[in-house]
Amino acid sequence: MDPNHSPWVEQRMAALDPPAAFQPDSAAAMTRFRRLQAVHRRTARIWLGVAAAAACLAAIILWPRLLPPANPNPRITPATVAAYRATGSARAPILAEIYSDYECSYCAALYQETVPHLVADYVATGKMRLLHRDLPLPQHPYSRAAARYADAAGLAGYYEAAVEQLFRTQAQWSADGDIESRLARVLPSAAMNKIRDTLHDPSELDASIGADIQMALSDDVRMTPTLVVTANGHRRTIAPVPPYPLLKSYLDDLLRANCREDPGAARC
Amino acid sequence: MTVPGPETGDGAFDFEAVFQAHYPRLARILARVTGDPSRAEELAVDALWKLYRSPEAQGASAGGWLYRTALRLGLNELRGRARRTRHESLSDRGAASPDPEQERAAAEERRQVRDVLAALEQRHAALLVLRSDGLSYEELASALELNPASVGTFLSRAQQAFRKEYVKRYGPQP
Repeated sequence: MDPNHSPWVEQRMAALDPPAAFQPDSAAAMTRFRRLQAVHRRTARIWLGVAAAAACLAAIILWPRLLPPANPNPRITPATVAAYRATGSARAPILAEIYSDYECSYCAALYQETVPHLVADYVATGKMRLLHRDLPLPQHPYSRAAARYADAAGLAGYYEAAVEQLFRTQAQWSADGDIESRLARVLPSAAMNKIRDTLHDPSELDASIGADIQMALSDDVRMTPTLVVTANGHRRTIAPVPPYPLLKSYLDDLLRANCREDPGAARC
Repeated sequence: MTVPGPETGDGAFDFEAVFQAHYPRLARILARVTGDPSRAEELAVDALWKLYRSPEAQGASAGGWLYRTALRLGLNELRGRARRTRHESLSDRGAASPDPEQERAAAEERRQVRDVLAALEQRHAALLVLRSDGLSYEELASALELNPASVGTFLSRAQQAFRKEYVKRYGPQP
């Protein structure tokens, strides 16, 4: 160690003393810091948005490729259902059939969140015919009874109102089995009387439900809800049903393909 | 080093307190390194921003981390500038001197000292800068993560390296 270096070096380093007038401005520095924070937060939000958009785009591009292949022998004309279970034009290019169980919570979510969009965007615009099919699962003790009530309400002219109420009050009646009192809250008493009359002999209703179950077996439906889409000569079973934006993208692709086949159609 | 405790009583890191406690000194040290007070203030905020974004550094030794980071930023700036330019910044003016020749000589000396610092090993340069800002041995040990018993030795080596580089560049000086 050479002690002589110290004063020599310190003398040179002293040349670097900042001007005496230099007073760092902490307030301005804090403002600059806050600006950095704001920029960082904004940038993070932008990247989050970009990542979400990229994920959605990837899902939209890849999802149709993950679908099962179309049935090579499509049954374009599926078993008929009672008129009250169908909505939309019979000439619509897309036929969508929803297999559901009234005690299934995912079915309730589908009916409450996705079906209204389908009705507004496709059924009301003549692009889709929507059918409700019953698939009461054996592990749900009240789902067949609920399906009977819904069909009986349909015969009385209140199918949509009954379905909506069944899904809305699903948690209550699936706990105590009291379906009737829940329906009675929203349906007129005259309709309730007709429903009770119909339910005295449910054999016709059970036949309808049985036909749906047979149809489900033929469509290889293994869960509820399941959507079966028939369009452009193909019939595809879609389960689980994807979120609406993804489903919409798929349906729009089908409609575009339909327009390529039939460019003269009014909707094209 | 007089580093106010960055942790509040409940163990949460009080960043605002660290900011207020360290910013002025960081800015002065960086002004010493860069010779540009405005740039020094920006770099001091950058160092604090890095601390804010580094949860692992937010603890009892946050002060030392902060000074090391600030010095690294300042010395990197100095090295980059030494490569790009060979003249003193107009903003790097010492105390006003009535004699233009004295002022020119002082500016030349500051440039030379900074060029030598830029050429030194970063730890040596950091030691010399902090020491010239008046940090005690204990404070130097804390800021640069040195064994307190070895600070004298490290400082002596740094001074020796500084003088050697200075003489190599500018010849023997009185």
